[in-house]
Amino acid sequence: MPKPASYNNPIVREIPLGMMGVQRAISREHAPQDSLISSVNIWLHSPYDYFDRPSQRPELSTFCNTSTGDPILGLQPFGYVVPPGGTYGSTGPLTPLYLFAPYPSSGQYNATTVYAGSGNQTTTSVQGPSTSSTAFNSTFSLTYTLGVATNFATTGSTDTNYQATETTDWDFSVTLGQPSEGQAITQQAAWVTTDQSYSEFGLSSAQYELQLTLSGTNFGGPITYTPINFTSTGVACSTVWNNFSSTFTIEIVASTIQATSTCYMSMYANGNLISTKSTNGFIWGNPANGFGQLSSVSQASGSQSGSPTFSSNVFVS
Amino acid sequence: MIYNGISTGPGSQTATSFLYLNDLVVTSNGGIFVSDQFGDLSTVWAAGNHTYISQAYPTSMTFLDQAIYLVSGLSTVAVMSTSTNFTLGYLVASTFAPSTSTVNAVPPNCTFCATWRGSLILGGAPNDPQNIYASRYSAPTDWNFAATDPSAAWALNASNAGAVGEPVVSFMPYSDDLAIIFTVNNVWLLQGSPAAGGTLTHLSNSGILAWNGWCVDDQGYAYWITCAGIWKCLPLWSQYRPPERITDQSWTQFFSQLDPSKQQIQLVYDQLNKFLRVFATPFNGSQGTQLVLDMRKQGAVLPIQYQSTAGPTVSASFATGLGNYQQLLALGGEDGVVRSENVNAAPSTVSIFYCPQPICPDPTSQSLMQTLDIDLGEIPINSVIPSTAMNGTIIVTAGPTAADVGFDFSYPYTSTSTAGTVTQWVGSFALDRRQQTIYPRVSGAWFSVAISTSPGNYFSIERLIGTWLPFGMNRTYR
Repeated sequence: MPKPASYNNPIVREIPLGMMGVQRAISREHAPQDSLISSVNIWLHSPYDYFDRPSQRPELSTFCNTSTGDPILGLQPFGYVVPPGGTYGSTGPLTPLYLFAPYPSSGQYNATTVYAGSGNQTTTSVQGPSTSSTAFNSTFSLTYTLGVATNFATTGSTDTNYQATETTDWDFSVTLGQPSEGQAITQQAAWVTTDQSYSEFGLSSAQYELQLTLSGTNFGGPITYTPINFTSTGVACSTVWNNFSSTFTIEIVASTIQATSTCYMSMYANGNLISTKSTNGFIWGNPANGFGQLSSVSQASGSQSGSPTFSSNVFVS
Repeated sequence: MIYNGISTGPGSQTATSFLYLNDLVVTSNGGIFVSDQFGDLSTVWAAGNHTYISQAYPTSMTFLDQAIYLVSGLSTVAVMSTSTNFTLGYLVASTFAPSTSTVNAVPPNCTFCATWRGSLILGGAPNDPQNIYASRYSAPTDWNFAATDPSAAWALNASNAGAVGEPVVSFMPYSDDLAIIFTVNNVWLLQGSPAAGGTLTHLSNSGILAWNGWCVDDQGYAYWITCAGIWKCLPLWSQYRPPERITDQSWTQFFSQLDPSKQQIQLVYDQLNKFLRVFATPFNGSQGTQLVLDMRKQGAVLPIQYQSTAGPTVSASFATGLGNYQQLLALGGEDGVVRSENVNAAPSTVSIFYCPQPICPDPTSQSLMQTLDIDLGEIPINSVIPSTAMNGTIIVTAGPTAADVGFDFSYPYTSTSTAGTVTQWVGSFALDRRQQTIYPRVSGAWFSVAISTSPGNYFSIERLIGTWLPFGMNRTYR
């Protein structure tokens, strides 16, 4: 009696290496290194084993630790290039390697790149082209109305946009000087606080730290500046800030300065944002007139007593 | 392109040629950090307040014109320069209405962002959820939707392309001209800028579960996750080939039980392993079950679990370019730590055991296993794994039911079946990169193969192929 045909045609099956009927079939030629079944990645190949032996979970190693103890809420890679001689990979402080230097050219300041060396730099001078013959006489008129209200309009000018319920506000007046070629532009600003309860700033003690930050748009790229921090340590203030003052320096380096360039300034107290203001499209220069002349100094209204100032250096050449 | 080095402090290295690298921005509890390619972290903004980003909600970030834009539902869009010492700033928001938007007023309270066609894309604003906004081309501060030139800013609901009509969950920038808009119940393909004749095409009524629930692999396939599974399409062909579900009949219950109100759901393409990773991390900090889909030839779907502190709350797969983390799957933990899978970890003291699922060659009868071909994969020889450590033991078990041939996964391995109902064959193999054929000659309806080795030894299995002969009626049917 003949055998059934199937005896001559055995069942040939590939045993699924995965689950749920999904087969894993990797040719030997393309066998990846991670096909290695080890105590580490056995879970990739044997879910059954995983369930019964939890110790075989994927082994993880720490890449970096924010030390916040709180959940990581965002991860975003970003690319950059390190030129020959540049440095990378370190645990040191943040310091710039390259800076932009603005210089005048047919109606606007175009970007140029100047290698400023490496190393910790608190002050950087940059060199622009030698073709410029016009002094950078520009009007940089920033008038900030910084207050505790959260619904300030962003238009500059004077302190007309804070809430009426407030007792006072912080006034900023920023004026660019008239530097000649190669000199820094110095901004002078005065601000004063009066009758301001620090509790309105979300502060809980008489000791506080203020921070002023800048950002810019339409500068042909981000601007560089040195963050400003100053504290009230040693300044007498109880429940009311009164004539608190400090002096600080801000350095702005931008790649392109044009009429639409806008600068944003934010003030924080103990890390709490008090207000953000913008220059709202101020005029940096008038190309038709040798980049203009310094026209005005816009002073904020309100109290301007006291001596606090801050200066800002915009390096041009 | 201008590089602004993270630092020049101790431990830094000097490039001898142009290097193109990736760093990683990390956010946690309102803090903003930058990690270099070695995992060294620098604090850009200290944690503890929500000055720039939310302390509680996920941070969506995108890279545009040498700056990282960060949104997390706050009224402002934070900007961190990557060219100027990680300077932080804001795009200032104001009360927003498309018709009255001014140049510098960005839409407030957006929860996701992206870069597409050189524009900053924002969306997910609770008070305008069905909308997507784009800045002017290469001008992330210009949100003047009244402008009509082709590079102008646009708001989708006011554009000629039309509105998608329901809350937008996420936005996938795919290519210069293509983007995918995911809503709760639908998927739309956006072709071209709505400011310059762009059109919306309906792709699928699958929807998406979470703003992080999509990814693109290195062959250009787009994937997204729903309660019905994982969907795949090649946007370039989408007009001709609709999206298909690649997890049909696999893990249906897992996907159907995904709950975006209780889990942080993410879909990530793991470049290193060519895996799709499905992360469903509970918001309450408990341990979640994650899925691994081996995308090489549509391979296995496997569950894994990390320790509860490892999350991941967020994840990113990218190439750092250097060091031990040339390819990195970064996993954001519940505890402020960013981790990666340690694929190079030294062997533990636990021995290795592997048992694929039982197989029933012929449901109608018993079978006799004639041969079992074992394709042994390659094991990289190194200081940890010498060639003498490549070996293993194979046990073939046959029995009347799948449960009978299951194993007790403790070492040494023993069948859980009762004596007399199963037959077993035990053999061994050694080395790698070869095919070995064994002749178990065990019979039954169900078969299992268990491969093991002792601590300190390794093996690699690429394929198992068995041949069986009919062997009469299954004894369980008597």
